Amino acid sequence: MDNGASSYRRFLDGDESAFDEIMKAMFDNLVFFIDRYVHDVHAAEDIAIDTFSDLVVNRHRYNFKVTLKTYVFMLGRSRALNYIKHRKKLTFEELSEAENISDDREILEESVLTDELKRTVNNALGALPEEMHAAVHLVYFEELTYEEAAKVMKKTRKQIDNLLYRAKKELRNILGKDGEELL
Amino acid sequence: MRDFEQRKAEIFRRSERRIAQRKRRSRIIISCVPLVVCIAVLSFFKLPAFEIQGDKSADEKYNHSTCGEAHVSVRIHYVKEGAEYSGEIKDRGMIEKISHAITAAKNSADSCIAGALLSGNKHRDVCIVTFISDDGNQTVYTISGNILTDSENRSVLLTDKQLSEIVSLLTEAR
Repeated sequence: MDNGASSYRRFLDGDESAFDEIMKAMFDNLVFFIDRYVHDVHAAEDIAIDTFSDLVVNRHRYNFKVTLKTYVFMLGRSRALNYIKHRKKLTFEELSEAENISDDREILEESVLTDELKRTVNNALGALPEEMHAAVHLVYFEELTYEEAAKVMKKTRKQIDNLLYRAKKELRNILGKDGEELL
Repeated sequence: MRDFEQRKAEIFRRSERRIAQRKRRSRIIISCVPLVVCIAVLSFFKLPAFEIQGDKSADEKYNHSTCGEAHVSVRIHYVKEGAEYSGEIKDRGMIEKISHAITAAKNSADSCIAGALLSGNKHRDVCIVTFISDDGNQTVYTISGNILTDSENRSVLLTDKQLSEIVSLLTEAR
């Protein structure tokens, strides 16, 4: 599995259905990942749409040297950080809207976190700092390699290693004995 | 949350909009290129002219300042047939008239002569005009016969009219 690169090549050759494949494989995961930064599932969806539109607009920017998944997550993270930077004021949502958001987040979690173990880890992740959070997400949920996660997060492999080491330690404390089996 | 088809439609809608924006931007840039080239060409041809004009005005300014406004007094030393006369002029109006007459004579292009030609030219009547500025700087002009020589040793041949104008001013001032 080349994580979408061949599908993207087919899309560049004019096969529109290849784009559907990429979307099905990555869109929800990307929204879920971006939501970890922006803490707003609708904004995350919007950012993910922009990220995918980058794939359509800048067709020749992807050089096929990294997996498409890594590239898409890199774009997504960068757009998420931009969004946070430019989010000028706090927005207050009505309670009904907030309920919708939490419903949407649950639906998203169900589609991305296919097994119970991942859900348990995900619930514990909320207590970790953002960087650890993202590193664990990329390596354990998205199954990226350390190098790929480092590329997405613009860090070195060693830094990812350290982040994950500390994250595991924290998670073991939070999850207790169950955590040791999971990690 | 949107469903799959809505998301896909939104992605392509945004993509089209961005592509259109990009095309518009590149069209603007392309249309600006000839304009920039025109400006570059025009400035290439126009700038030397401006420079010459600038030089001229700087020269005029220089002449003005060496012979006029900045000067507070003029000393005249006049040697005629062995006798010497000296005097100093403080009157601003007169200083300006003298400096104007000397500058006009100095700048008349057709009267420029090479220093070498002057070497053998000896006259008994010599008038030394020294302009003194408020900061103590001195600009010296020597009028020997029909030849006006400035402090940088540049000489010009004065016409009889120019010479008589300068001499009459100096005499009047004295």
